Amino acid sequence: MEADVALTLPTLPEQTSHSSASMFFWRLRHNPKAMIGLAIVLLLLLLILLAPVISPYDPNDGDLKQSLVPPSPAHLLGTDKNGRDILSRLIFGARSAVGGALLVVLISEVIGVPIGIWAAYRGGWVDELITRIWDMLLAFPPLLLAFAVVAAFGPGLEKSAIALGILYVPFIARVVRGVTLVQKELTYTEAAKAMGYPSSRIVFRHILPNCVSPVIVVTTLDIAYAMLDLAALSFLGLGVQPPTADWGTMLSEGQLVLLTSPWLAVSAGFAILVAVLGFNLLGDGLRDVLDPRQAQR
Amino acid sequence: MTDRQQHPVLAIEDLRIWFKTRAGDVKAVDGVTLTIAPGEVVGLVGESGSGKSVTARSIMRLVPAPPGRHVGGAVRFRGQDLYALSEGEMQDLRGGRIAMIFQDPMTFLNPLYTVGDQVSEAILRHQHADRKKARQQVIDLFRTVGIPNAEERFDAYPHQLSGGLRQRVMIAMALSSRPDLLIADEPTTALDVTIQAQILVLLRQLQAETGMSVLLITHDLGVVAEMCDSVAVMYAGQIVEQAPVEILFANPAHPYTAGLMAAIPRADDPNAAPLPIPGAPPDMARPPAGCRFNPRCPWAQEICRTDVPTLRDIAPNHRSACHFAGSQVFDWAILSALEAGR
Amino acid sequence: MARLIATRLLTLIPMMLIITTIVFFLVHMIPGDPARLMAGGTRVSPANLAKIRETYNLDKPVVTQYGLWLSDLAKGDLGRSFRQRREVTDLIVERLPVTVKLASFSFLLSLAIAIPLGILAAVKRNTWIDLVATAFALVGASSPVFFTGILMILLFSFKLQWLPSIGPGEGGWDTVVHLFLPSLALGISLAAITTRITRSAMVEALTQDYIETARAKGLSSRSVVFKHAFRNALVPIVTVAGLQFGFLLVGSVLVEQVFGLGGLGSLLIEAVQVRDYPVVQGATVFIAALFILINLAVDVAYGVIDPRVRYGGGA
Repeated sequence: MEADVALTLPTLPEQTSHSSASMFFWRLRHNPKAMIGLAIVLLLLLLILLAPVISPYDPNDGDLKQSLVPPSPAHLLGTDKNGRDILSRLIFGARSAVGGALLVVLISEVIGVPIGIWAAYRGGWVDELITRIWDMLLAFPPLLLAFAVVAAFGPGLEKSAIALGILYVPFIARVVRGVTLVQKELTYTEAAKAMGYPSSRIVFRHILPNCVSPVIVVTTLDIAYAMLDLAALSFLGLGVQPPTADWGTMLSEGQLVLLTSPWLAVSAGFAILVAVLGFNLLGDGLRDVLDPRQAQR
Repeated sequence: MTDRQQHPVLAIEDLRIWFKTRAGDVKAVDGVTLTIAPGEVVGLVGESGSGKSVTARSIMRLVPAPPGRHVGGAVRFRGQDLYALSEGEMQDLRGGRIAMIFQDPMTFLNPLYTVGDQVSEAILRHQHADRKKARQQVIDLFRTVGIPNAEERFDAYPHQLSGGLRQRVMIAMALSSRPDLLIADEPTTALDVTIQAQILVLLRQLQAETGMSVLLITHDLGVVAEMCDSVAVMYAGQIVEQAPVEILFANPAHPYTAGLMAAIPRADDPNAAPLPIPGAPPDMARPPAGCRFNPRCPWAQEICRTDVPTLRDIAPNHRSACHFAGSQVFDWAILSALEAGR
Repeated sequence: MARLIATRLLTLIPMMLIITTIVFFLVHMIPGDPARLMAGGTRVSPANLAKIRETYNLDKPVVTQYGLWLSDLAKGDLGRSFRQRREVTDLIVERLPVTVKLASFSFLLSLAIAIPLGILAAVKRNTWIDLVATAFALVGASSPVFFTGILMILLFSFKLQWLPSIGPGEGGWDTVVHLFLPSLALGISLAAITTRITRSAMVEALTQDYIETARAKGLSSRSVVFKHAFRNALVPIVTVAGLQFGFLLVGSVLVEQVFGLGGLGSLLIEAVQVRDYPVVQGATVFIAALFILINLAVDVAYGVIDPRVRYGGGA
């Protein structure tokens, strides 16, 4: 179609590293999804850092005489069964929610990035075997295997996070492998190899820098998934254990008193929803900005 | 004016189709005027990006809107302005009285349906026929367009056929309702050279048999010489010259046409290097003032940079949009340019 | 077609082998003595422990246990529950129907929401409908399914009192009424992803050249969208719908918990909570097998949709 004339219009001036960075921020600022997501994520980080300062009450200090008090000026979101202030517990809950999810993603990356590079770099049967195994794992819901892990090792946030972290490896390894394959095919890497550079130098100079933007996108989206999975484990009583303040456990406690005190479950649920939405929006927005070709779809 | 031109099948009058883009409105079609008489084969030539394909699609109102937009002008088919029709009435015409074939027969056929199904669909849409009758009609059409083993091919999927056969399927689809006007958008560009010739011969033969009018869009003047009765040359969204084929080739009356002709590799003298037209087509969001060709025209004068030339009759059946067309100085300049190419 | 199915069936065997191996060794890495755990206390006589070990083959080396377990598995024997002293297979058969009903209702509901919404968003690209669909997809995918379920209970059961909030119902219409809210909660979560894929697949299909041919034939927008674009968009939609089956199983575990449905998911979670290993193993392997079979069905669906898969090789 000749509507394509639009595409042949003069393109932007040649990109130097400086202008591509400012270009990135310009496009980020003009992406509403990314900006809303970023605002939510920054808010969460503030809550985590400032939790002791801004929470009106101690999250674990309950007054049983004040059990299940509806929202009021004294307790903006009411209290739970043990008389603990829900708002304070929500603020502290951001720690296990975001912290746990970060742990999951960190573990998956520490294992997944080297595996992805190795598979692509070695090629042959190593690559074949590794991709076969993770294709299978990818097809399988991580949460289901996490149940088996909890059955074996018992409940807890760290154990759940480690199990999920391992099960998330294929998500990141797949992306890194794809980038590495492309870089490996590019002639300059070939040339570098011919000139006798050690592989490690090629990996650090050429492959890792190119992995940065796709890994950032996957990381952001994986944090959202991990938050949902961890919340689910906590909701089932397999993740964070009471009395630690956690949104998933608060939601399951709230379910028990849903008819009389719905505010507990609703506020905990919305906390999860907004936090996950924030990371999802940011991840989507970053993908639009960093990989416009993919984003058009 | 001959009688044929007084009752044209198609008359495009000052048509403007613009596209909304971030860089502003791209004036892909900006004042196109063109007539096609009954039984006439008209070539529409120009470089890629000149607006040929958009013109072709705008006749059928196939330009997606948005981003495309009909800004002004009319497309009269047998006297009826197509832009005044409802979408439903337009659908009745598409594939009925007006049909179209496209550049790449691979991507323009749906990979998930058999070619027979896709042709039947056109028949069932426009004629009172049941599936069985439609099937027989498709098989007959396949034979007409020279598809061997027509009965078996009915159930073939596009990926199972060669490029030439796929284009024959497209032609069969277009001809199924015996259209008055066939629009062919670069119908041979995506094909092998030997197949190209076969498809052109087939089109010419079918045109002679049915007496339909054809608008053939191409960037290849060789194809025009072989196929067409008359030619319209398009540049930057406008028709710059229109004439019967023999006249245009013998006596081009626009510097752009002369440039195109000088750019053809010559069969009789393979040593003569074709002379490409210097420069590039203009940015259609911000076309140059005056004559749009002036930045690339070797003879541009002051008036060319300020005044927009109109398409006017310079001889019977010969129209040009050059300020100097028809003057002796001009003829001499064009002639010497063509000589330089030899 | 038959060959396609046959080769896919063959690849199932190594897949099942790997999954069962992972599950078995995962569960057998448990710290502590399973026999003691099974006996349910610390004050158990050594004779009793020995007896338990013998019945459950716990006295044999792990590899032998694995071999025995596998050969039983091949015969369809998933072992006995530590806690309930019943065959795992019986427990699964007892709990399966609710889960199957929940999963199929949810799946149908999700398609009923996602496909029209996704198509509409693609056809009316960059309008408010598209914005609504995008917002729905984002929020739906960000809301934990158990929270969606709780919101449904609050709205439809407590506030409006239209539908029951708990239990699987007692068959027939009662089951449909009881399963409606749980299915809707799960369906919305699924629909979020499917809407997104449907939209992008339709946008892609609608910009293909053959769409122009279809329009040039004089077909109505409806035929163009549904006959020509939608069928081409189906391949990615079916892929995602198939992948979602895994989510459907995990999601039903959570939804069963919210609505007290006592299906397969609840069986698994109860077993995890009391560390009833044979049940955890059996249920996980059973779900994995279901999951792999669904993937096979998805592959077959490709063949039905796309002749290029059916006849092998493209252009």
